[in-house]
Amino acid sequence: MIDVMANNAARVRRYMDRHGVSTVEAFIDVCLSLDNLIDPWLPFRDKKPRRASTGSQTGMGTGASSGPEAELEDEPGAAQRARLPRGLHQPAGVHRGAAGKKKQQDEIARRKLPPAPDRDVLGFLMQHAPLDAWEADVVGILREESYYFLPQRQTKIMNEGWATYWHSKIMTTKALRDDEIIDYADAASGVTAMGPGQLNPYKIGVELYRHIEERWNRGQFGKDYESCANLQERTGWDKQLGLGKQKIFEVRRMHNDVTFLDEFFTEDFCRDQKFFTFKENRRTGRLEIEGRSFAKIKAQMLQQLSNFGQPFIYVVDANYLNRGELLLGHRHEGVDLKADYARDTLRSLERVWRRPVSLLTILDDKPKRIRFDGSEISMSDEPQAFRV
Amino acid sequence: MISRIEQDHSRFREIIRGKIRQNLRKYISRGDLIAPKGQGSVTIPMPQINIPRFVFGDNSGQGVGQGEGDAGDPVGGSPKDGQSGSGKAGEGEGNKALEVEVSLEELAEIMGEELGLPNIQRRGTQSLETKKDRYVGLRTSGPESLRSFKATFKRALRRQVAMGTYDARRPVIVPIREDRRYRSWRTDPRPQSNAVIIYMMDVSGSMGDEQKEMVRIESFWIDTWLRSQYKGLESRYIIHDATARVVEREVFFRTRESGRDDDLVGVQGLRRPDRRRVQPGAVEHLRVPLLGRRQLVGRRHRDLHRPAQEPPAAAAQPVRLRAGRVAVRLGAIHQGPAGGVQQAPAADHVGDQDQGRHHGLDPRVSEGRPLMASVRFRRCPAAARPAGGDQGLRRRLRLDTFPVLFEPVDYRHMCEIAAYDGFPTRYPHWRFGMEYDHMLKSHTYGLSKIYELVINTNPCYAYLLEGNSLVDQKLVMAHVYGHCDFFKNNYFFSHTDRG
Repeated sequence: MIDVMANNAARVRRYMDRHGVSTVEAFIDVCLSLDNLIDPWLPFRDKKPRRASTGSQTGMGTGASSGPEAELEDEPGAAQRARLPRGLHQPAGVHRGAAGKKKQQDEIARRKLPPAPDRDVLGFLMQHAPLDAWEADVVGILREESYYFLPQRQTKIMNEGWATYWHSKIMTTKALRDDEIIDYADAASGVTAMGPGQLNPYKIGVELYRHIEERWNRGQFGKDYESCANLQERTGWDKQLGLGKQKIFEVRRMHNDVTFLDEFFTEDFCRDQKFFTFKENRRTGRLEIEGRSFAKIKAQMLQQLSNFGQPFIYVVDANYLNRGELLLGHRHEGVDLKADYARDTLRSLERVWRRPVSLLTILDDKPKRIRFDGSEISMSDEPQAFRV
Repeated sequence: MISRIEQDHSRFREIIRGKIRQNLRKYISRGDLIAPKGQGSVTIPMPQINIPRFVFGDNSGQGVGQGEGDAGDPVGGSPKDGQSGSGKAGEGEGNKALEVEVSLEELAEIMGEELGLPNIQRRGTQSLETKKDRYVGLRTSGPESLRSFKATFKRALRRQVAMGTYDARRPVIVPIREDRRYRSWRTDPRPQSNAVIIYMMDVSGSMGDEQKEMVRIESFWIDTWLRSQYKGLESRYIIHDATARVVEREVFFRTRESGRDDDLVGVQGLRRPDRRRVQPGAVEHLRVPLLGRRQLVGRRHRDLHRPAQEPPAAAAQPVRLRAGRVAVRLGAIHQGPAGGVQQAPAADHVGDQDQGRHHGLDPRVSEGRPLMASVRFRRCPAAARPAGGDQGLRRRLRLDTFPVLFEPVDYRHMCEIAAYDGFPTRYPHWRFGMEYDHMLKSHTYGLSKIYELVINTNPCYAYLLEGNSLVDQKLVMAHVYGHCDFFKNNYFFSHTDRG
């Protein structure tokens, strides 16, 4: 990746020489505002990387502003072909008869872009937006780097916890001289310190690994243990299995933060580690401990971590209203989007798509569609919320 | 010569000042860091540009925390802390915060740019301010002409040994791109004053408050501007009514006195002490017309320009605002976990917005421990090195890592690499400059410190901060092995490009 980054840098520098620093930089800003719109599962599904199609695109950008005359044309002429995003130009063949109708419907379904809602918004734009060659390349660069850093965002707790587990292990059993113990303890306690009202990934991670190790060493898992209701028996449960080491190595191989917490964040752990939920007291304006309900704590933590802490955004339709507009959908999971940011992000999207863009979302429990048409933002009610 | 991160940094600062890319202006937020200093604290501005993204909105103040307490108790240390029932009100002093909005050098730069002020031509040829580029240390990127062959081959050798591809019988060393080391330079300014400003202000009764205010304000700007032109400029501040006194700068700008107007006496009175304080050698005569009739830098007062014999008074001057890049030096701060960076409580701390960077072990500064110039891997004491080298250690612990190459770097370089997310070269963008700015500032003010930085490559490159104590280095190296094992084995990293 070191070489890839260096090559990317060289290409961006070249674009800056050719098109001007501010132009390229502004476009990078636009892409940055979209760089969390990627599909975390894509790298595991799609072996062939998406590539920026560079051919025949140069100059297409100018067609985007060809105005309303183009829309009135019956035939998808040259102007319209330039206006529509790639992949939508070919007119559907004229088919007669029932078979023909079926065929036509298939044709329409086939031509629906994307065929199913697509979370790889950046990849979609790179392929289908009317971009200049260099712009498509910049989108590709930003997307590539975003995917590269993705695993680190998905495994923050696990990664830090694992490293902390091992530094503590190595230091206390191997590498520490007697006279260094105080300095070490001082430094190590700083690493796992908990701040009020925030979670320290180092702390949660390392404690969870230790908890897992302990449980598997003592055999505190499986049906027998889970169904045991006797508290005394549970706490004294020890089958001397010694599987802890093996288990944590397995866990670090197979999990990410979400599955890690989902699977191993148990009620016992939650209680031992003194987790709580807090909430703002509207009257005094301060944050207060709300309670220590296990279900609530866990739900909230998982929600914060799912999709590496980003909202789920999909490309829904690239030919929305049959006008070549782009429609995105936000899968609402209980928390609204930050509205002003969402509006500005739509501006960035419009800069890339060069046609009006809309986002389906839910604001204050009402399904809404936010649209930016290149000059102003408008918001309208929707009959129903976007679902996948 | 300007390094790449410096370019990004200056671009960021230009955007902040609104010189370029005005469209970004509305995204600029002025964050503050609060660094304790003495009794009070210093507020360090951390301007930030937030790129809009589709993100979750305000979580209506919800979150998960960890610690003691019952339902209804306030979450400790929250900045939103109101009057809590059990709190002790009004005890002790309030926290005094000194605002360091922009450094004076930046201020002068802004003023110069706004007003189109010329750079002052120096009188005479002997400019005593010298700037020298000195080659110190190595870095991972640079022009080929500065490549250090010796260091490059040493790196290559070390890498080959670590990866087990070195054959002692056939010692062929082939450096690859990552081994290359380039000589890096540092610009050492050697400030020596060749100019003295003497400000003199009448604070007697004949000067109304308004006049005094004008003098004060104008002399402040003159001072700021001239300081940007003459490094190591010395200034004397004199206030006088019936008698004159040399005062410190801060006093000068703040004093309000009243008394008789008899300045000549004052001038006579100050000659002697002042003369001894001014640096010998060429003294630039600066006309400061704004001080009007009381200007002292003209030819009429030759006595004042006579060379004196004592060391620069700046050294003895107790209070110095931040002139130029000389940061306000703070003692090392050792603070508990709750102190440190006081930003808004990140309710969603876990799923942070960061680009998945990994660095920054903890927000603390090690305290007056013996500092080591550099810790190189091979020089690690025997205690830190188990028999059989790190491979033996890894085997016994069952850690399965790529070869790890440690590299000690100084903190500027560390901040640079961290700003680039661990990579030696990234495309030019102000965002990296912003990161650099933040990390450098919090390091300078002792708020946080990047202990190590490790990137997911094979072999794994880990950067250690020079000057950490040996214990810290060992801890960090052990930590790095943990990360490296994770990078190598976790499923979600399996598709990443480690070349």
